[in-house]
Amino acid sequence: MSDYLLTQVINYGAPLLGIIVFIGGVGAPLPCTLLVIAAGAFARQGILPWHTTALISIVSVVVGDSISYSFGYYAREHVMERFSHSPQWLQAEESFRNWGPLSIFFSRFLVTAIALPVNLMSGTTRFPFKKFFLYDALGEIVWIFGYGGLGYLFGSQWEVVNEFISNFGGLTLGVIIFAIGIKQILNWQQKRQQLSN
Amino acid sequence: MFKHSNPKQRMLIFTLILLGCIFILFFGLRIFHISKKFNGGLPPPPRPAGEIETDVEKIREWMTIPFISRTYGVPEKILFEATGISPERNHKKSIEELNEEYFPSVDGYIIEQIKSAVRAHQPPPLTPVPSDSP
Repeated sequence: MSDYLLTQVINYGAPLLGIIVFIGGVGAPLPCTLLVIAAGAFARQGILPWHTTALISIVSVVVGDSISYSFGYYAREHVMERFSHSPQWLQAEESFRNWGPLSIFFSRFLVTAIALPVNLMSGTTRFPFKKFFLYDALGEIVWIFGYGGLGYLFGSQWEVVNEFISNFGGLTLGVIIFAIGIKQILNWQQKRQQLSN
Repeated sequence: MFKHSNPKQRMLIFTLILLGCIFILFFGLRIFHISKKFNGGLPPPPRPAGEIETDVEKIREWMTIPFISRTYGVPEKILFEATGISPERNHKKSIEELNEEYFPSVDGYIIEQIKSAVRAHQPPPLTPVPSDSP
């Protein structure tokens, strides 16, 4: 799949990259980060114009993300039918209100594996769209210019850069999961202390 | 410590911590291994615009012949001739597609032909001009 898409990006350029990142934004599991890094390297070679490619990609991916937000938004009624009385759901909603902006921003480029669930959760919890749009656009700008910039900087070594970044995402996810576990233990400890006092 | 939690919750938390540790160890080791491939973690020095690639081992099967021609500074005509394939209707096909279409019985035939042609016809790298001063 990645090889096929790389061939098509060098053949059809920025418009095709825009279509791919749009579909990725909607939720299809496509190797978008790899293509963005490669596009940076192709821009260095003069095969893609960096400014047009960056602009098309940012607009496309933000539109795609907004569509997946709308999936969550319109699925709310179904979700509420099932979970409206669940304390866990209410807790999740409350915690998304607090952590939503950070989750949206960082899941655009740091832990891209959770970008789709975050979009759906944003819509389902009725996280304000304007705020979603703002943090989404900022995160995607970092994604495109950061990763595309790395591809540009490292040129022909872009494959190694991609390997590094995809593993870094996994490492970050591991740290987040571990931190959630530790936080939960600390909460229990705090509760225990409160009860003993 | 876990007096005020139910067994299900306890199990979930231990699973999270264990999973987190596995992820950290697995991806951490991979990153350590990958970082050895970088030249001291630094990007290559910036090349002047239009400078060509020289390492033929970086040719991949997803590349097209016009792309390789541009990257390595070898005319398309030479590359198509080396593979024995007509350029017509083959410009947008990857090396892999061309190989499957024209040489299905020989794996990697076209990529090897292209590597040899690039080695043979690549323009010499730019050498620094010696200064006149003693």
